[in-house]
Amino acid sequence: MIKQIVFIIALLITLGVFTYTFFRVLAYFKLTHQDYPVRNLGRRFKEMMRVAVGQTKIFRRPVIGLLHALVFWGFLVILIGSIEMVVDGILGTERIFRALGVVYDVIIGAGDVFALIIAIAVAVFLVRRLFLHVRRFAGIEMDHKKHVDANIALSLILILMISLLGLNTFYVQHALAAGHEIHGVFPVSQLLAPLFASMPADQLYLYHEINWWVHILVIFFFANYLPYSKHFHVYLSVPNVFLSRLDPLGKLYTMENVKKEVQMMMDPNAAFEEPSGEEEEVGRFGVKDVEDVSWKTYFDSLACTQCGRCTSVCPANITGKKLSPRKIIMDVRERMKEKGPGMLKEGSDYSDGKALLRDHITEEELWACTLCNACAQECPININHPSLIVEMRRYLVMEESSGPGDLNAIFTNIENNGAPWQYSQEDRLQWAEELYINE
Amino acid sequence: MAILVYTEHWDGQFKKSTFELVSYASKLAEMADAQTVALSIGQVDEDNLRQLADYGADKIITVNQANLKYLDNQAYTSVIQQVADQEGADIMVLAHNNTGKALAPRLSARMQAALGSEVNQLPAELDPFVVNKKVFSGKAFANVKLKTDKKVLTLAQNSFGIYENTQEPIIENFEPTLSDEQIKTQVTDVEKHRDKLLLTDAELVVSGGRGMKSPENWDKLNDLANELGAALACSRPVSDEGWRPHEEHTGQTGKIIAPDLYIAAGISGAIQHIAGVSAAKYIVAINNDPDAPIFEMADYGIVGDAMQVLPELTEALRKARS
Amino acid sequence: MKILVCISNVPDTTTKVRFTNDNTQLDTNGIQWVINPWDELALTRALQLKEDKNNSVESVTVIHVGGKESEPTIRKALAIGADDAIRVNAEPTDAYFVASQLAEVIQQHDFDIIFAGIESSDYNGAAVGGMLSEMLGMPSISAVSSFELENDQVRIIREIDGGKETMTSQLPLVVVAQKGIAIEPRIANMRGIMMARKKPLNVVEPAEKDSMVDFVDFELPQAKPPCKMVDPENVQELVDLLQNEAKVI
Repeated sequence: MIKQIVFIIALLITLGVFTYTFFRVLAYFKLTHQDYPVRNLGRRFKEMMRVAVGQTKIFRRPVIGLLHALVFWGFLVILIGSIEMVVDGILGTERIFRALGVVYDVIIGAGDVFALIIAIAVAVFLVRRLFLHVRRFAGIEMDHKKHVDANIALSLILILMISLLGLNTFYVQHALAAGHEIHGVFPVSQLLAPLFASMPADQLYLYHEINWWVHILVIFFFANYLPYSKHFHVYLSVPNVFLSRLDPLGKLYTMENVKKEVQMMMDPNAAFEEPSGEEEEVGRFGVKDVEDVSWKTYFDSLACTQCGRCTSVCPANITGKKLSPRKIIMDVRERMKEKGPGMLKEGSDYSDGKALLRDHITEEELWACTLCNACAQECPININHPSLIVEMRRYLVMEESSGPGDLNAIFTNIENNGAPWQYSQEDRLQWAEELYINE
Repeated sequence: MAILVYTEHWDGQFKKSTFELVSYASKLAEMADAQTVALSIGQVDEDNLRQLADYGADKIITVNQANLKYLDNQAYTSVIQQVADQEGADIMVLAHNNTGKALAPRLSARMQAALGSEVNQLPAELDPFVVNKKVFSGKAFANVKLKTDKKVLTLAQNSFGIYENTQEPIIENFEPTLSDEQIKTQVTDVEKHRDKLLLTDAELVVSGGRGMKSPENWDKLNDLANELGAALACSRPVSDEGWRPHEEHTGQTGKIIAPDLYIAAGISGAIQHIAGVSAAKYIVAINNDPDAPIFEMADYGIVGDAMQVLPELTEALRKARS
Repeated sequence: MKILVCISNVPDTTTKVRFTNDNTQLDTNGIQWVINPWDELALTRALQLKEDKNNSVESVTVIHVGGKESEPTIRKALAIGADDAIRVNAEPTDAYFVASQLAEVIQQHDFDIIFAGIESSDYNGAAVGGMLSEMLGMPSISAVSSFELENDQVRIIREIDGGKETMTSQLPLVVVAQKGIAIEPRIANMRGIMMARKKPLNVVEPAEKDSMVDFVDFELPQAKPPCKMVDPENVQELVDLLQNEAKVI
């Protein structure tokens, strides 16, 4: 009875904090802009199954990819066991899902095996991070706090797996010692159980309870820690893939707010017309600060787990340019964290004298990009970095006409000569002069 | 009737361009049966002033006032106009350089005298007074009729030539009516540069390509450039290899220049390079390959080894100018 | 402080120049018109001065003498950032006529600094700026390659043969600007183009003024003759040719 009350209180606190976080993040989303419409749900579902659940892009790095895939699939399975623990905690029952019969055995058995696999994988990850120098984990955007964040998360998962194995082991051994039925199958824990053969039943029960509480409380803590950590991707990665753009990489989207203006410019007579009088205020072109980004870009920035695979394949970064695709995505998240609270409090006109552009992401980084889309292709959760880069370039060019010098020369030449070079329009067909083409 | 020629000096010395200007004014004066009057503002000693008479100046007027030490457009215009009025000059001639461009239009407005700028020859006759000049940045020529009685001309540099026509001059001082209040601009600092000529401003350019074989051979180009007072340029492979600084790279992706003379040594003439120099008035190509495309673009060419031709050319120039 | 920039409308540099009407007029078929490059640089500098918070430049106005067909070019100047424009509705016959029209209008306003490009890329007269300053009785500084404003004092560098002179001047002043006054011409951005339509473009009727020159006719240069080859043993000949035929040295 007491156990239930304590549990429900803990659960309510967890849900409370979670709800607060949820609405806060939602409020930040409301500050952002529209993006492409989310249609084609069938195709999106298939993409989600392939990339997110199937972990296809993760496997591009085969060894570490396999370990991550196993952790991910393990989490999915263990998730069911965790749900059972919450129901058990509220209702005061024990292993209530056993009613599922053989299905329960499969789930629990798989969960038991995965617990070991995940524990080993996470141990590997921790050793790798702490003792090996992995280039992908370094970078100007990867400061000390980021590494601490990663290590905390890994450590918490390790504790979760150990406590899961622990509670299973003590469950099995206690059942044997007290003569209870064992519900579920425990391929790994049953091998560990004999280690405690000499322990009295009530001590076994105690250790079971300890492991059980450690496990569920760490889950409660973890569930609320995730949104503030790089591991927000645990929640957001699958939805991010579902919501990701389905158009081919490299396709640029036209700007609706400019279309009308361009149509007018293409019509030579329009230049002489008086302005029509009632013209709506056209919003800012492109992205200068975090309130200009689309909701999807913000989603990307929250789902990003800072793995660095994007930067590791970026040709600009590899050749020593300042650009790091990972950094610019992380910068969006940082900037919202920096400016968001002020905007929520004082309204969308709030200014702190800084911007995403120049104070976080410099022009040098933006112009170094070749728009090859290697980053977007590599990202295991379909983050689209180039769309942000393009939007920020659009701001620079369309609001400030501030591009690298060559760019302005190209624009002027296109405007005057119909081509990016300083050659007369009349010379366009000179290359064909020697060809025997009958006019 | 007189032709008034404004003879600019540099630190009391006249240059070739001054003598060319006086030659022009003198020939014009012949056509008009008029006197050639030269006006110099500033400190120039008598021996130098007399030089102007070698090219046809009948009278040389000198104005030497402290407040006229530096060019003030408004003040100098007033002085020239006062001298022109005194001498009964109907035609004023200046050089088409920065000073001429500053003064001639002001003079034209002040004296209601039609302006013919950057003319390159004498008018065929005095009435109608029609002069020829470049227009559309050198893509065409225009014949321009100056409709007023008085006229101002600026002569394009290096267009006429120098002709000796020695006279026995009268040298006079002139005190213009000019108060200090009428001088509203002030020079606070003067910087003379005898250092590296900016490539994009240079009228004479000497350029080397891969045919120069190695960076060590650039001394031959340097000598030629120094002799000519020319700037240095190079083709892209040369700057890519690091033989020359990339500021010297001329071409489609480098600098686009329009000098009066472009000497290209060891350059094949790839279209991307030509794109940078095609606006040059005259192109000289030195290359040991008679089929090199550059000869199609060049005005003058030598098929030969640049290593030999360049020093010979430098030497020939040195002799010709001494 | 109010700045005025005089702009003229010229064919773009890649235009193939041709003449009609017995070679008395420019063939305007297919010509792309642009702001005279030197005027554009001067305009760029004027806008930079305005954007510098340390200066007290209130506005940058552009003025042009030309017909309605010049308006797209004037709008471009507004799109680049000028605040307002004045067009004197007359065909620009010669520099003196243009300068007279400009002077007539300028006298009715109160500009502190008047920029003019040193020459225009069509007729290369290099005249309007100087004529204008004389008509207005204002000082002028020509061949200006640098223009700074410090506490509303001007600091100008003008190019002279073999050097430069740093200068100051009383205002109002006509600044005849050449290359260097700004490094690169500013281009219009989307925002500027959209705002340009709302900026005032005042058309004024011209005063009765004369021209002092007439363009009689035009000639195209001779086709480039083939390369004149010189014997490598006789470089002296090249020197002679360069001195006497080409007249470049």
